[in-house]
Amino acid sequence: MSFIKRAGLYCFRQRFKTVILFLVLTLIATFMLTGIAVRDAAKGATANVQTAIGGKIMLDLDTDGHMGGGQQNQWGTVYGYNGDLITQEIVDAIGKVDGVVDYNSEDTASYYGAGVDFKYLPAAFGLSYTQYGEASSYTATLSSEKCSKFQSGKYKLVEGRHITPDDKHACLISKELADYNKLSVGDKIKMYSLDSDAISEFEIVGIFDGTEGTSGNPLTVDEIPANCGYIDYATMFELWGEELNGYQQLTIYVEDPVSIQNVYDKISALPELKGKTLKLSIDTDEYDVVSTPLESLQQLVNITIIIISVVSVVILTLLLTIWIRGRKKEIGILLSVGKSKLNIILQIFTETIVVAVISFIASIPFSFSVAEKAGAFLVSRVTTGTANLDVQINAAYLLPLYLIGILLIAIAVIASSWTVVRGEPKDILTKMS
Amino acid sequence: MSIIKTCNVKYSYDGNRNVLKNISTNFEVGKIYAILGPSGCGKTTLLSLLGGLDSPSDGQVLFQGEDIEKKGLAYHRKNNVAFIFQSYNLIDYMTPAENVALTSKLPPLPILERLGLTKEEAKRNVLKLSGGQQQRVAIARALASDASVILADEPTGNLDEDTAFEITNILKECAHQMNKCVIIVTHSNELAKQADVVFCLKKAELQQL
Amino acid sequence: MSLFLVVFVVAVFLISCFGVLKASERLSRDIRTSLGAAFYIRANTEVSMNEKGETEVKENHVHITQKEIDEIMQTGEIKYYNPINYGFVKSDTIQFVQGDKHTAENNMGKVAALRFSALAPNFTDETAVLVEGKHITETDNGKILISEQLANANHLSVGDTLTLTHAKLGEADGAYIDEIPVKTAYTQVEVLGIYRLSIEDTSIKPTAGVADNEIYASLDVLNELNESEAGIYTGEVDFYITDPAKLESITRNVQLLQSIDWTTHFIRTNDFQYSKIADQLSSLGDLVKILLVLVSVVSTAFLTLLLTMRMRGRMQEAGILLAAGISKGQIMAGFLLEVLSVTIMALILSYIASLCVTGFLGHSLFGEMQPNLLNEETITAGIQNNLEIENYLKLSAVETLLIYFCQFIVIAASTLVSSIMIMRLKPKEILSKMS
Repeated sequence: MSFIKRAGLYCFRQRFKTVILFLVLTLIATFMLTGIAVRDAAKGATANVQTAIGGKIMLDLDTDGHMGGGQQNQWGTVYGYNGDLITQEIVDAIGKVDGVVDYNSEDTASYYGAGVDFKYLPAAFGLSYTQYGEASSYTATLSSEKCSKFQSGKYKLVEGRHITPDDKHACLISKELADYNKLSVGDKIKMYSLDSDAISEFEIVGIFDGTEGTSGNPLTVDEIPANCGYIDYATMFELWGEELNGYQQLTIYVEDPVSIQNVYDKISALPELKGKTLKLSIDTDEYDVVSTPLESLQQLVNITIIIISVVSVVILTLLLTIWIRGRKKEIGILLSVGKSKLNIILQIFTETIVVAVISFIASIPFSFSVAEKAGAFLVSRVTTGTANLDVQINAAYLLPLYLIGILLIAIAVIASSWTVVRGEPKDILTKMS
Repeated sequence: MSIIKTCNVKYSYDGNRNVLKNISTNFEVGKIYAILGPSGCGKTTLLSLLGGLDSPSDGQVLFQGEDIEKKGLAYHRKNNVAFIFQSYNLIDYMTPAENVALTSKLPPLPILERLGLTKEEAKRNVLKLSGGQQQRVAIARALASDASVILADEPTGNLDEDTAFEITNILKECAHQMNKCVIIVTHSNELAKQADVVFCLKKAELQQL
Repeated sequence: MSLFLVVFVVAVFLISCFGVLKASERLSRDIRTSLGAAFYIRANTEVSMNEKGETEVKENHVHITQKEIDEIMQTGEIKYYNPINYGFVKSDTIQFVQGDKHTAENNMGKVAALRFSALAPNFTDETAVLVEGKHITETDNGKILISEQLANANHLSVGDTLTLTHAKLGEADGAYIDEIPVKTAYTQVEVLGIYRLSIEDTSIKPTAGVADNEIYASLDVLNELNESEAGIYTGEVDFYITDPAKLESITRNVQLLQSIDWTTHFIRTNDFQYSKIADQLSSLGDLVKILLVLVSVVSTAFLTLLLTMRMRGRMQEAGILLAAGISKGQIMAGFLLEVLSVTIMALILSYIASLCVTGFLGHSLFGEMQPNLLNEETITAGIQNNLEIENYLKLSAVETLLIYFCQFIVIAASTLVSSIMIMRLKPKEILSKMS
């Protein structure tokens, strides 16, 4: 009788044990598959966190050795930067680099505008040095969303939208100023700038809050944060003409902080930057702060899965060992009728593998439903609607996992049956009775 | 005709206490041998050595003049000898027919029928048979193999007198009609009386009575 | 023996896994702590309409006392609070950067007196950076930060001391004047640090309004100069909390405090940075929880399975005992006692083993990690924090006991159930089945 037939008979006649083995293996396989799916999801979540935090590359003017000879004025020598500015051409080129998601240049208090058809919140000292009254300062920006006060959460856009690089004659004003002047999104305001002696019209594209109660000890209108807004850069260029033909600084946002070096290399290789007195630097401060615990967190998930795998294998080996030891008598008989040790091991191996293959197949629908449940649980826990996270069984893992599973079972079977088969047949037969 | 033979076989546990010393005996086909002796005297050990379940500490077991270790003990067990045990040693998840088929490619039913099992019994769960029936299955398994030596360890130990008598007759038949060499280890004098040759194992030595 | 091994392995396994959950919670908390969150108590601005239909604006002023702050500090896990008082100072030895219509009389600078200068808006917005010395913290007295420009103009450096006196900017006949002409209060201060402004202030302002003339001082400085009262704060008060997840509940509790006039004060919260990753972070935590549920289910299933098998294997023994006239209850009690005593031994040993496992895991996982306590670092600017790395994986005694207890229950229950299943059979059936 061949070992295959014996294996078949064993599986069929010892239904209880076969079913238990089947259940255990199905459980372990389901477990592993779900574990891997969880690991993938955790990886996805980590990547999402990294993207949410993002990385920054700063492009600044290189002021070393490019400050000119200096000019005397009433307070001493004033040096002016005489190197290259960041031109629109450079900005456009950077915008096209792979991995760059956004960029911003922010120039605080670069525009002083007096209200032609609106009033500022009054300050203690009124310095009406223009014919339209006091002027307040504005921050010129390419992308107001990325401005530091919005990034740190101090300001929040409450109406309308942010200023984008394509905007012209657009502004953001504070909620207090809007309320004070009964202005709303879409309204146009006129401002007079003493520096360029011109009146410009701006459309209010957005209103932000967060300024209320932060004035401190204001002397002039521009020291009241509520009076200070944001305007687009295009208007600045228009007002200043040739005098201002570039940005002072550019912050480049990279989606994935992990590959930031890559993006940095690409940007520094841009022909538009060749020979310019500009310097590029990576800023991953914010990311660094969370990256270590985040990576540890992900590692924890991995370790849990490894522990689970190891324990599963231990449990399986234990189970098989207990059973195979229980089959001592049978092994003794088979040895006494002249079956070789290999033949006996092959029989046990066949039995287990047949059950294993069936349980692996059975584990697939199980795992899918467990993964689905896990995914649904995650979605239900996420407060903001967009849960771009899913627990999924990746089909590519199935085959290698099963192969490894079969290999481990083979090792477990051989290891545990060897302890029995190793003994002299006489010992086995005398021990058993 | 001599079929299996021991040459100066010694056996000891841990190298000190000699269980068997210098045993040289000849066993022939067509005869039934009985080995008597008190419990623990080494009867079963001798049988294990003959059957290739164990190796002697010293000396040789020859089958048809050839050392059984030469072709391997498993080969010896598979082709030359068959065991019958006191506790029958049937595989519990197999039917009698399947147990017999373990050692032989021949159809098992004729052999079982010859030993007195019905067709229906031959396909029942082994554990649901009576002791005598189980031992018949074990003998059938031994006969089904081509082995010329049948080694029986207390084959009637678990059986009532009548059944024991029947089993003894079957074993005699095996030796005399099927021309097998049947070696029985027992402490039953009844069984020994039926044997052609009776040995007694005393103080680690084998004496013919 | 096999039972011992299994219980042992399962216990070590469960403890390690729950240790992992604990560690993941601690890590999430670390991440949240490093992002932090804040809420600010500010005075509101009332915009109203007068009879002529013109809008009028009324700015309220903060009035918060130390007593109220202490009450707020008790509402939750607040790490720092930073109240601000504003004022003006003069000094015989300082020539301020000249502004519009500068005179000797209006040669003064604005002062922001606070607990933690690093948390002042200019520093958190990074429009100002400390270039020398240290930031002011709660323990400092008589300390100031000045701008690089002011330090250079007056040849001041870190460690220098100078005497300040009170002042108040006023306006009369188009000129800026000092409304406190007679000086009665003086205080000696030490320059603790020097900061640099990154923005250029080009607007026309009186000397006191020039950004470079701003002085950050410890809270006592303005008290000494009679410009503020100890324990009363009139600028906005910022509170920094370690765990953004608790922001909502903390502010809700603060809002319940009766002692603060909520008609003129309001709370603004800021957890923007955390909110960006909050969902993902909680998803990660949930994933670990899912894993643990799986682990627990599988462990339970396995223990039950093993014990059931074991019981079936002992049917014969039960049959013999029954035949010997021992009652079912006694047999079951015997089995239970046996299993449970093995269990207890395994659990005790597993505790020691799990200490090793978690110790090893903790070392390999977190050995290199420094807790990221950003706030602490920013505030003391370079002062080392000698925080010990907690054993992230360590479970508390109660949690360990709880795991053991659950395991114990599972084992006891499955032993009982499987032995009851055997005992329901008649002794004859058992004995006939077994052979």
